Amino acid sequence: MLYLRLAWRNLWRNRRRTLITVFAVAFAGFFVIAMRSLQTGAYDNMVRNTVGTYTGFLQVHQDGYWDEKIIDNSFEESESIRETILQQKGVSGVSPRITGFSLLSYGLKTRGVQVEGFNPDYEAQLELEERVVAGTGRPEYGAVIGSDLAEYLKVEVGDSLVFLGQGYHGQSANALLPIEGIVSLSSPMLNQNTAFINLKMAQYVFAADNRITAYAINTEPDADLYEVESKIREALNKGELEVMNWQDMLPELVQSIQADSAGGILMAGVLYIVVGFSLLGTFIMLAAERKREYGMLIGLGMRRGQLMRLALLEASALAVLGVLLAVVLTRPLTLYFHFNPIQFTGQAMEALREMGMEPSMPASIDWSIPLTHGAILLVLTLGISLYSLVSIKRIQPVNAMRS
Amino acid sequence: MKSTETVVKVENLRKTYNADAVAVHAVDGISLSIEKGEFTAIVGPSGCGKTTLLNMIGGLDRPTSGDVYVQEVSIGSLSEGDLIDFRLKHIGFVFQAYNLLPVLSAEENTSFIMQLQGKSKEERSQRARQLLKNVGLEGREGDKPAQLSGGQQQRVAVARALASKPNFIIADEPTANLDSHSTSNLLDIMARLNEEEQMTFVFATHDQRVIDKAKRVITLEDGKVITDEIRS
Repeated sequence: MLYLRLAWRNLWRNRRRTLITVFAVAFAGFFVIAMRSLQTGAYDNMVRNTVGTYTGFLQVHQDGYWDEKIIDNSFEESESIRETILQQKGVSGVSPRITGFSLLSYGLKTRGVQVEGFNPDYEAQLELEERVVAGTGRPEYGAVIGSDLAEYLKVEVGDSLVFLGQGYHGQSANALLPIEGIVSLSSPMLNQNTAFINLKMAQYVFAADNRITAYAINTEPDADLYEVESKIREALNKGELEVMNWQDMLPELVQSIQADSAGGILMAGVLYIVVGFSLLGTFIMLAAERKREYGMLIGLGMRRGQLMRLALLEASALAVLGVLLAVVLTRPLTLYFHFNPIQFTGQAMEALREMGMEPSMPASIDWSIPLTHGAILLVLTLGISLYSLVSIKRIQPVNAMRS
Repeated sequence: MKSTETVVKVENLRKTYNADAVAVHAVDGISLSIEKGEFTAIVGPSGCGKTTLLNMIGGLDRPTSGDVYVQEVSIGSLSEGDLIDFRLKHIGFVFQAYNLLPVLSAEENTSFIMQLQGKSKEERSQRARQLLKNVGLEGREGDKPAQLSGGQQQRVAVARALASKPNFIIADEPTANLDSHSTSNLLDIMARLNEEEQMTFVFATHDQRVIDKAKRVITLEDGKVITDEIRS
């Protein structure tokens, strides 16, 4: 209690300096936490748009399919396999899919698209029904296409599209299918280049009866992806089937997140250095101001270790106050931008869409962000307070009291 | 004949500073002993070695040669940590500039040493209040140093020095910053403690009023004892 009481009161001996130091820590914390929350939120959004609503967090497919995505690398659909996967802890949904490529034409307009055959009853990711702009999100005999693709082809529900592609074992995969629905997909890339048709219809078009190219798997929000992956691999125990997580399937997405994140980390590092020097200045002043007092306390019989503990407590209190203030200031901001994402407009929106990203930036409200950066600031402050500890270690009571 | 108990024994004590390679003997071969209950003033001109001698007696500074024995313990042989503990248990200090902790009240400043000694809260509080009463500061226990006059602060410093129940108290120019009324007050308190509780005081001072009260006056010059006068 003695140390706590002394440390707390010492802190307020120079109220202005303490407040400036606390605000310096709080400013760094606020800026870094806000920046990382927005960045992480944007990454989560990218992953959710690309992975959560399309590929799935995990996929089971024929060994080699991911390297050569052709219908010939499909495998026999089996209800028992689907059930086995579904029974694994952490799995929330399993969707059988057949994916092929086709030229899609309407009138004089043509575009190469990905054709996604899916079973609306089992589908766990696509959530097309929630994204319907016109018609339906549950195709039966026709196709559902992205709104950007519809706009490019100048089509609407009821128009018929020509599909021209290659099916299983080189058979031709041609069809004339009506548009049953138009959906707005959050991933601009998918919205421009994808057509969804019923799984049975897709198997028929691609001449791949009862065959699929993948089971797309969704996991529970708190599930450990790698653990679920390993459990599924163990449960299937079939050499010809491969289990892959989204990070292995989409390394370019992982890399682009890492590259962008590196900029944020660099920025945070620069801020930490600036704040670090400000803290060092404070501790140098503190040590110089209190030299006489430290000398007197050692003279009276206070051990250097006890004095160091006191100095550490003061430094910790400074850091904790700064970090708490940063969290208190950041939390409402991140909560607001989590529920009201920043929407990019104009050129920024176009640029993001061209990069295949949604022009929207929600903030992450993951507690690990303030906790991580709070801990970094605490360690930084305590590390810099080593200066005070070294000063205490070197103090000679007689010289100090003369100063 | 009155029995005596040696509290401090100084043997051939020297302190040499090498100022710009020229050796300066601040204390030059002093030997003396201080008995329990003495009220000793160490006097002499500035730079004669009073404070250096006092610092070595109090274990704040190490001698170049010679030794100091407090209650027959050679403090020169103690490690840094043991010396700090030794000071805490056996020696009380009163400094010229009071050196109270500005964030603590008079009572907290007084009980601070006892807290370092690990005394219970009740014992600390009771003794601190009694000591403050003894130095005439009853009712001012909750006041911070900034709320007290210089004389009152120095009386808190005396109470703090007494708190650890030391073998003796070292006071380096305790009246240098005080007016005559406060000086007289402080000296009366110290003299009473010396008379009633047989507390041993060793002063370094220029102040004639302190010298007049002292029972023993040791005069230093150039780091050597010139005279050692015991008054009846």
